[in-house]
Amino acid sequence: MYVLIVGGGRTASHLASQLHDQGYEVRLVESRPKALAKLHREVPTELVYEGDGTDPQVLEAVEVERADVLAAIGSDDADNLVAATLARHQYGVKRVISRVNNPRNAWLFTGEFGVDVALNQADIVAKLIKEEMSLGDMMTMLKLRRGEYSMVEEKINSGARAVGMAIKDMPLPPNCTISGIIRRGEMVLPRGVTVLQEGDEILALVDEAARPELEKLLGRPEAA
Amino acid sequence: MNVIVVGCGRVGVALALSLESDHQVTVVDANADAFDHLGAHFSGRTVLGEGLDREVLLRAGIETADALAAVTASDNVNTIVARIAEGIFGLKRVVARIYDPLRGPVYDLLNIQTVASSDWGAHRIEELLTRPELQRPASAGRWVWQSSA
Repeated sequence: MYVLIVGGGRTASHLASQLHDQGYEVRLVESRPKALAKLHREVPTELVYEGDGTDPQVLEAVEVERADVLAAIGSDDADNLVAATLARHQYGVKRVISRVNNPRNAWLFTGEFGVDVALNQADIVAKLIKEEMSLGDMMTMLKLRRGEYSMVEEKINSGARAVGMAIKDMPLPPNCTISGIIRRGEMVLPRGVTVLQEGDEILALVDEAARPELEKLLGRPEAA
Repeated sequence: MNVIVVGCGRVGVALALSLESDHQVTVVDANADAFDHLGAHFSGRTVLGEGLDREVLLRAGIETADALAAVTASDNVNTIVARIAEGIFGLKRVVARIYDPLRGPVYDLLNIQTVASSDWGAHRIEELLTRPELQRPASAGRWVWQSSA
């Protein structure tokens, strides 16, 4: 799999190193001299291509049409949108992932501009912070299929119905899958026999109907 | 016509000032100081904010605008603003100003009408140097600009 990364900031360099270590073919396109100097220290030099990733000639030089995935994750939203638009509409890259720097620009990161997946970093970080602040309320971490399904997280409150229950015995609503348990900071993979404890953070995939049902099992008893 | 000018740099100012007598002009820029260059007598509207921001464009009246010029300092911002105006809001008259004429294919591809000022300027200078008979009418452009300023 060939992954092309446009924009060579910290995230890009981190991503390129990880993908390279995992054996993916990776190229990273960046034009700012300062960022380039840093990149050459952080990732194998042959992965770095010096050029403007919104310039078709540069994209062609790194064989964009061969890329399975293009990640437009620079610090300028207009640059990311131009790179994404070209990648999809001109070069037919199948999967285009882009980063939203300014949440006010998030409305543009759609198929119209060639973006399959938009990562709104301010939004993601804000959600994570809210989640860490939460004392027992259910947080939505991710919405899937335009909000039909969500990945939610909730800490099991003291006195909640789920405390002491094995997952296989829980009266879970249809369309609800417990997909992870964070117990004392460690990820525990849920099995039928796993018994839930107070303070466990439950990650679950739910549809809209299942969400309040799950909340009743995990939330404070008075909310049940 | 209702005309939106995104970018209040040198080109944006000159364009807004030459349009204002006959048209409703709204100038958009993210930097409030940029509007100073329009002068105290500018009769159009100014809207503070980024050209990619939906709310800013709505405040500038993009839904009822007849034309839009994207003339910020960034070719890519101009490209995206022009695409928004045309593709999302359906404006018929949209022009983007670009600096790098070598990237013309991008705009053809995105179906955006562009003016590459450096390219145009170079051609014009070449004409002036090589075809002296053009010299007089060509310098008229400058008089027009001065008289309207």
